[in-house]
Amino acid sequence: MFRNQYDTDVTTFSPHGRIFQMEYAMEAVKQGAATVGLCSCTHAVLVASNKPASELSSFQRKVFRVADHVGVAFSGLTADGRVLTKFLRNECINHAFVYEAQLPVSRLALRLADKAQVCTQRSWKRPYGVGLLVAGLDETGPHLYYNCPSGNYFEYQAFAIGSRSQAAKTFLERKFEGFNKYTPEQLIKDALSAIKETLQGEKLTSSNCTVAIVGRIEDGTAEPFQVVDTKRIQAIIDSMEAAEEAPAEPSSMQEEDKGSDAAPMDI
Amino acid sequence: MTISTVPDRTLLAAQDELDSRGAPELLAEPETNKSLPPCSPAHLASSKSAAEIQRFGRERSKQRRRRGGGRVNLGAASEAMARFSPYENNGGTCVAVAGDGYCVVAADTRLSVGYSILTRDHSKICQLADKCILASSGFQGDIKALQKNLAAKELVYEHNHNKKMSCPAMAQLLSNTLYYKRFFAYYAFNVLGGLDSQGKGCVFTYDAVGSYERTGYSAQGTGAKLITPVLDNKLKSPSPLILPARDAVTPLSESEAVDLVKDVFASATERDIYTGDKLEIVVINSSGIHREYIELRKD
Repeated sequence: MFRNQYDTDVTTFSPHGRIFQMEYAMEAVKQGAATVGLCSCTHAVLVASNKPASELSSFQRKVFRVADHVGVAFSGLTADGRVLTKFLRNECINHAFVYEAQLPVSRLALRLADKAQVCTQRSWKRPYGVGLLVAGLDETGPHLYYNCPSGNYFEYQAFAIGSRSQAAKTFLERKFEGFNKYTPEQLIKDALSAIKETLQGEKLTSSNCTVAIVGRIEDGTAEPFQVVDTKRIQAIIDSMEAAEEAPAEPSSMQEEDKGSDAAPMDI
Repeated sequence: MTISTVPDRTLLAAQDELDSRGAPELLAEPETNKSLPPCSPAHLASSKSAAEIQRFGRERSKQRRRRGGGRVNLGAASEAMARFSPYENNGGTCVAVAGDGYCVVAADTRLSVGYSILTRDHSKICQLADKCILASSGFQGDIKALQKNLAAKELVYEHNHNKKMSCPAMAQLLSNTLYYKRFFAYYAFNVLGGLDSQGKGCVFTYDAVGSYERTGYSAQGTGAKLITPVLDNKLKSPSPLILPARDAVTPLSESEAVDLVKDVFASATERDIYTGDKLEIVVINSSGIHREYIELRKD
């Protein structure tokens, strides 16, 4: 993107009908650390890669519980993300207070999108520079939504945002058709594989990713949104690596996570 | 004497007094007219005749009208008409006893209005956090609103601090929430029970506007006056004036405390019309929360 005379504020259209400030806000999302979300017909999983700002610091928290039945992970200006998380939490609490029922995920995504839209139509505001993956469980099942700084939101089976997310998206595009039948374990495995794609050769460990899951388990009870324990993640990663190291049959296209099939594309 | 179509004015006036006692500290303000006798129903019942009670009732409603205090003023017509009161006493009793490592919170399950029973199966107990239980008696509408309010605030705390609220923290929050409505109080008489951060039992007792204290045991509600003397006798807690300061926690074991609570409710049920039907006992200890139900007299 290059500077031009139509990008000074968010209330200016360009002759081609674009609002550049909004697009620049979406750029901010692309610069953030990668985040991946997946959905099956019983569970939804969010994985965020943890990138510390420097060797001395700890990493930014990017996965937050919004209510028992829904959580978010975001990429971009994490401070904006925190503020939006507070807003979402409030919305859920207020809805539950008035209606004694959980706020359905689609309505939550809608409220978030409306809030984002306001910032694209006021001369004294700026758009939120963060993209959110909203994963939740409601009466109609688990859902995954992506909320844009532009105020748009879409429901996804699987999605990846942030830097080098194209590699993860390519991986997911190959696999997504089978997701609905996955068990929670398989879902987490594929989510981790997707994140691995974005790491570009760096080793995946339980300390450089955060995994969260929400869903309905077999007996019908809901598993509330929670961050998965690092020990369990490490165990899953170990089992994934063990499967990779198992004699690789070049003839059979293994379902297992051979991550290096597609050359990670850097866009 | 006003002609009234309502059968028993005496009883209604006494009931009126019970209602006005609902927000007691609210009406017995420092600016109280000293010439008025203390508005205690027992006092009234014992010493006054029906006529005096009616006159007293009328004087009090005039007093109330002058002072306002959250009540609707209906103007001249209100003299003959029954005044709308935003409060109602749904009766019931709550008790809590704290021990070393456990806390017993109990409440009956009867909901009444006037001389009628609305339901025999209504829980007055609400779990606010893992080690924190609130039992309230009074006006059920306000109690429900108060419980919802506290539950929402607890959720906000959980989001901000990444842990559930401790019992002493909830105690302070409840006090603040009640005082926030100082001038249109929650008609709720609360007892908060649970384990503190050291795992010791704690009981906090409140009035309608948030004044609270940590004690070893407490009773609130319509049967409280019948129960408290018995608890005092059994669980005599050291006076707060004695030095060195001693623990306000009972020496009884958990099962002894539960038995005491059952006995005490059985006695209160005999004499208090608003207490009865079923007793819900909740025990919190280090292994979690355990609930049981005991039948009480249904009359």
